[in-house]
Amino acid sequence: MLIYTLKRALLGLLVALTVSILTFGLLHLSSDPAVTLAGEDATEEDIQQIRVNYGFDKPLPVQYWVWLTKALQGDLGTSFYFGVPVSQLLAERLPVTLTLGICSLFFAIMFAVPLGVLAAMRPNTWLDRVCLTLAVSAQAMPSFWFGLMLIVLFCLWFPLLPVSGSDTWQHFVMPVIVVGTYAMPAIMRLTRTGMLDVLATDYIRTARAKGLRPRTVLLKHALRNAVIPVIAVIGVQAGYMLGGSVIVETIFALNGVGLLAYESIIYFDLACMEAVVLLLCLVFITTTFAADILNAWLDPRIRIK
Amino acid sequence: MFKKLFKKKFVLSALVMSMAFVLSVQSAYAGKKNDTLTFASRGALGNVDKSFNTSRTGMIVQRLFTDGLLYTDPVTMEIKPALAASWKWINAKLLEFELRRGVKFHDGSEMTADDVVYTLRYVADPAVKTKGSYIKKIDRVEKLAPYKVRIHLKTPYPMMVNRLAGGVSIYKKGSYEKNGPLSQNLNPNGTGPYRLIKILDGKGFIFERFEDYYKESPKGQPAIRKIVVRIIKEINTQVAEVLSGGVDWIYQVPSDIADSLTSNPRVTVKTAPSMRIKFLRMDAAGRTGDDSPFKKLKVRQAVNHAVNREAIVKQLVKGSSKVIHSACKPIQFGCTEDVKRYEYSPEKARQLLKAAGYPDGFETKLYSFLDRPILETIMNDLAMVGIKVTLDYSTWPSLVSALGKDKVPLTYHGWGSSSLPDVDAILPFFFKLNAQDLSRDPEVNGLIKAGGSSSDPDIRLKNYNRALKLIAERAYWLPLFSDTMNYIHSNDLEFVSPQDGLPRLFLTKWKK
Repeated sequence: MLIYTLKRALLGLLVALTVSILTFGLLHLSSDPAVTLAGEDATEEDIQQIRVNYGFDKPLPVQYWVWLTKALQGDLGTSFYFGVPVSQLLAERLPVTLTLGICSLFFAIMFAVPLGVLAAMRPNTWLDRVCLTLAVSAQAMPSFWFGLMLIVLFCLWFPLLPVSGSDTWQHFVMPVIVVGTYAMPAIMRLTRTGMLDVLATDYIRTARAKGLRPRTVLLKHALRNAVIPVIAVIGVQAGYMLGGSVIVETIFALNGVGLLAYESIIYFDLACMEAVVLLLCLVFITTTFAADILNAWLDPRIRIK
Repeated sequence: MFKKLFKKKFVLSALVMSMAFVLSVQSAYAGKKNDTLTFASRGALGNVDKSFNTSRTGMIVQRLFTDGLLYTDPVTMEIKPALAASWKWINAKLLEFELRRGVKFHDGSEMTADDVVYTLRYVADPAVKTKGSYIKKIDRVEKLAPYKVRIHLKTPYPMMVNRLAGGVSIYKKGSYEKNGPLSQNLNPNGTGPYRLIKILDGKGFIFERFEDYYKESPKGQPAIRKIVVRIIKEINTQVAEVLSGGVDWIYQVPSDIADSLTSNPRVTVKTAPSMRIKFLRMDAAGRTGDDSPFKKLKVRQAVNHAVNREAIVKQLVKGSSKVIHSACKPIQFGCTEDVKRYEYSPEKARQLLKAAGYPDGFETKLYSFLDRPILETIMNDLAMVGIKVTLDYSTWPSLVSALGKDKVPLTYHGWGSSSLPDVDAILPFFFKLNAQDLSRDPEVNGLIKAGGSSSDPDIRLKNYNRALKLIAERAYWLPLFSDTMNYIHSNDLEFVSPQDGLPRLFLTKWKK
C-alpha cells in the first residue's frame, strides 16, 4: 500500500510540474505581458522598462525557474490588476469555491447514488427509464441556461431566494443545484451499472439464499462493492467542483476562484492566471490521488496490479 | 407510534422553519425603504484611484467619494468650479486656481493648497505610472497662498481644464507616502459627496453620505444615505436583480434587453447618448507587410462603401446610436462631420477593388474583442464584395500585443474618450505614429499635435478639422456609429441621464 501511495504521489507531482511548465510557456507566448502591463498610452521605452523591471527580458526558462522557486515558497507574485498578492486573492476566494464545491458534491451524491440504486433494482422498467431520462437531461442541460432558469423560477416567479451574491447560505442554493446536477448523471449511471453487475454475482445470490433482508443485501453487500468505480468518478467530479465553476460563479456573482479565473483572463493578469491554473491542477491531482488511494484501500487487487 | 409521530412532527416543523427562513430572505442591499441605492457593475475594480485605473466603474466610483478642482455638468457639459472657487489661464502654459475654503476631507481635515500641490505633483511625476499620459503634461505645481495654486504646463495644452474636470481627484497631503498607488484602497479619504466606508474584497463597495460635504458644490448635496456597488459580471443576472428588487440601478444594458423591458411595470428603462464610438481601422501603413491590400487607398475606400452602417445601427445597436462619418463623436469640440462621406454601395466597393487590382477580392484577418454580432455583420458585408475575413476574437491585451508585433491588418475598435467632449481625447491616441497608429501619417499627426498645443479655439478647430478631413479622404478608418447607453432602474429612483455616458450617481434621489 505504501509503495502504491508513493508511486501515485510521484505521478501527481510530475503532472503538476508538466502543467505548470505548459501553462507558463503558453501564457507568456500568447501575449506580451509587458505590453499589457504598460497600458494604452505606453511608449516603446515604457514597455522596455517594464520588461526589465519584471524580468520579462530574461529567457523563458529563467523566468520559469524564478517563478517556480518563489511559488514553492508560497509567493505566487502580485496581481497586476488588483495590486495585491495573488496568494491573498486566492485565500479570499477559495472559501466560496470550496463551499460551493463541497455542497454540490454532497448534493450530487445524495441524489445520484439512491437514484442509481433504484434504477438497478428495477432494470428496464419505467423507474429505470425515468432515472435514465433524468440523467441524460441533466447532462445535456447547459449550466448557463439552467442557472438562469432557476433564477427566473426562484427569484422572479416565486421570490424565495436571492439572485446573486455569496453572503448567506440561501445564496448558495441555486449554484449548488446547478453544479450538483451537472455532476449527478455520471455518478448515477455508474452506480446503476456497478449495482447491476454486483447484483448478478454469486455471493449476492448466496446472501439472498441465506435469508438476509433485501435491504441488507442491497446496502451492505451489493452497494459496498458497486461503489468502487463510482469513487473514481467522484474524485474527478470533485476536481471539477472544487476548482470552481467559471460559468456558475459568473452567473450567480459568487466571488470564488472560478470568477477570479475569468477576471484574470479578461484583464490578462498573468500572475493570477498562472496561480489559478496551478491551483486547479493541484485540486485535480489531490482529488484523483485521494480517489486512487481510497479505491486501493477498498479493493486490494488494485494495489497488486 | 410515538416515534412515528415525533418523526412526522420533526419533519414538518423542520420544513416550516426552513420555508420561513427562506421566505425571510431579504436583500442585504434594499432600496428606498432603507435609503440605500444599490447598483450593479460588470467590471471588477482593482484600484479605486482613477489615476490608476481606466474602467467605467472606476470613473463612477471616483466621482462618488472624491472631487477634483473642476466638474463637468452631465446635462449641459459645462465646466464648473468644484474644489476650485475659480480658475483662469494666465498664459497658454499656466493655469491659476483660487481654492474654495471650508472644504473638508472625509477624515475631517480641511483641504488647502498643500493637498492640491501634493496630489498633482505625485500623479504628474514621470516615475509614477498613472493611466493616461495627459497628466504628465504638468511641469510643476506651485503654491502661491494657502488657497491659491498655479499649474505650469510643459507645452500649451488647453484640454487640461477638461482633464481636470474629468478625472483628477485631490487627496490629502501625504496620502501616497505609505502605500503608493493603492493608498486609496487601503485608506480612502476624499472630499466627495460620499465616504467610501468599505471595500468588499472584489465584490463591491459601500458608500455613505458625507454629512460635512461643502454646500457650494456643483454636484449638489447627496440625497440618498447609502450607495452600494455590487460587481455582477453577467448582464442577465443584473437584469434579474433589478427586476426582483435586489439592485436598484444598472447600466450598459444591451439594446435588445432594454427593448424587451420597456413595457415592464417593475422598472424604468432609459436610453441616453454615450461618448463612445465604434470604428474599423485599416493597416494603411503596410505594417503587416508590403503586400498589405490596405496600403491601397481604393481598397480602404471599398471597405468604407461595403459596410451597411445604417442597418447595423437600426437592427443591432438601436437606442440613441447614430451613424458617424468622422473619426470622433460629433458633440466633441473639434469634431466635424463635414468630411468625405462613403455611402453604402457594394457595387462601388467591387469596382474599387477591381481598380485596385483585386477583382476577386482577397483574404484578411479582423482582430477584435467586442460586439460579436456586429463583427459578423461587418464580415458578411465585406464577404459580399469579395473580402473574405477571418476573425481573431480575443481580449484587449491580446489585440495590443498583436498591434505591437505589427500583425493587425484590420481591427474593430471602440473608444469612449474618457467621456471628455473634445477630440483631443481620441485623435492623439490613434494617430501618434506609434504601434497603435495603423496609418502612420506624419501630416495627420502634425495637424493633431498643432490642434492640441494651441490655446486658441480657432486654431484648434482649423487643425482638427483638417486632420479629420484627411483621415476621411485617405479612408484610414471606417467610422461606424456612436454608441448608446441604456439604463434600467427602479421606479422609485430619479436618475439624471448624462450626455457623455458617464453616470453621476450622487445626483440620484428617491421619488417622493
